[in-house]
Amino acid sequence: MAALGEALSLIDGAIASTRQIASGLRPPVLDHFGLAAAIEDHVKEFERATGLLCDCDVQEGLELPRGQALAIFRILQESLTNIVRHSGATEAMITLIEEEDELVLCVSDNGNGLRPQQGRPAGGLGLVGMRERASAYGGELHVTSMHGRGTVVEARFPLPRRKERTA
Amino acid sequence: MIRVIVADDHPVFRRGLAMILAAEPSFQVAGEAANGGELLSLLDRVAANVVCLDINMPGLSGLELIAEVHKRAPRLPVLILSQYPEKQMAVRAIRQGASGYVTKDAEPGVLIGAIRKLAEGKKHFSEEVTELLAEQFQAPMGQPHEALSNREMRVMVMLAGGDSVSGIGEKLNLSVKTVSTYRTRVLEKLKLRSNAELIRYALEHKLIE
Repeated sequence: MAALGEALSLIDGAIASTRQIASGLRPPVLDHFGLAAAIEDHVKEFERATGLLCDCDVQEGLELPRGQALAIFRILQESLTNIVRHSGATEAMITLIEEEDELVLCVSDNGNGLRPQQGRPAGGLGLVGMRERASAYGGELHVTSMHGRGTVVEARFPLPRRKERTA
Repeated sequence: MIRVIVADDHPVFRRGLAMILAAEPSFQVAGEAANGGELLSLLDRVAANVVCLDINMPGLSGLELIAEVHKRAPRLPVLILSQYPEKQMAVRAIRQGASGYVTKDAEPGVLIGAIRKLAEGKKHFSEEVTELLAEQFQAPMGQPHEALSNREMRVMVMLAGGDSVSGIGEKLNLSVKTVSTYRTRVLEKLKLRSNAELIRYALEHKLIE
């Protein structure tokens, strides 16, 4: 029981520091080293704090407006917080990938999934906030969950077509 | 006394291996695990000299699991057991910290010998893997598939093994579009044009058999 208490307080500490970051300060890594580095850093710290196994594949060299990079980073933070708080998962997979004309952030876990009609207020999962961050940059948020098989949070953002981008 | 942890999701194989080890006078089974979570939990609770780890357990990347075990117990050698002769996977497993690699169709004697070597602080790899390692060392970026990220490599091996894009999407919890993108990137990086060419490449480079 003591070990459980310790684990819970570690998680609370991790969430608290996440909230501190979320409450206003821009993570310095994001500004200085870009989104890929910021995500990798955050995921490593998350792994260390929570003991979840994370498989992270993020695309380097993306050139995004700072506001959009921050929005994506916040969606990632919120998704990870949900995983550790609600899902009972032991593993997570994080993907940031540039597809033909979309930029996609995908966070999935092997937890319990979201039960339908849970009665949990939408705000409890920060879904409204995540959706707003996505739509602020023309993006969409999709949350899929088959109960018992984990949850997938996918944020898709439009990007100019490749040809235009390299012109 | 060599204490061994056995981590494999196939109950019959796991029990079989445990029984083989138990029958050897100088070996003892320190614990069994059926998945990554159980293995990591065991590491905290039991003392062991060697971990036998199936690289293909369900859940996320076996390579990530090796790295995690190596991080938590840097002096505990990890022997990878693999159902497939994915020799390039052996090289990546070594990069993550594995000390040995054995395919599951090996004779029990080979497996026992490998565990013994690892317990003595040595490594164990087949001749073919040793050759691959030497090649890596001499020309680290020589092979095109070395440019693939671990995730791209994983998708590539699944495609070469016959998994469909949607099948891979289901297994990895990624959308079909995302898997397609990985597929396109793999084909581009390897200068291939179709799944058929990808399979041939994988066979030629002994990534699958």
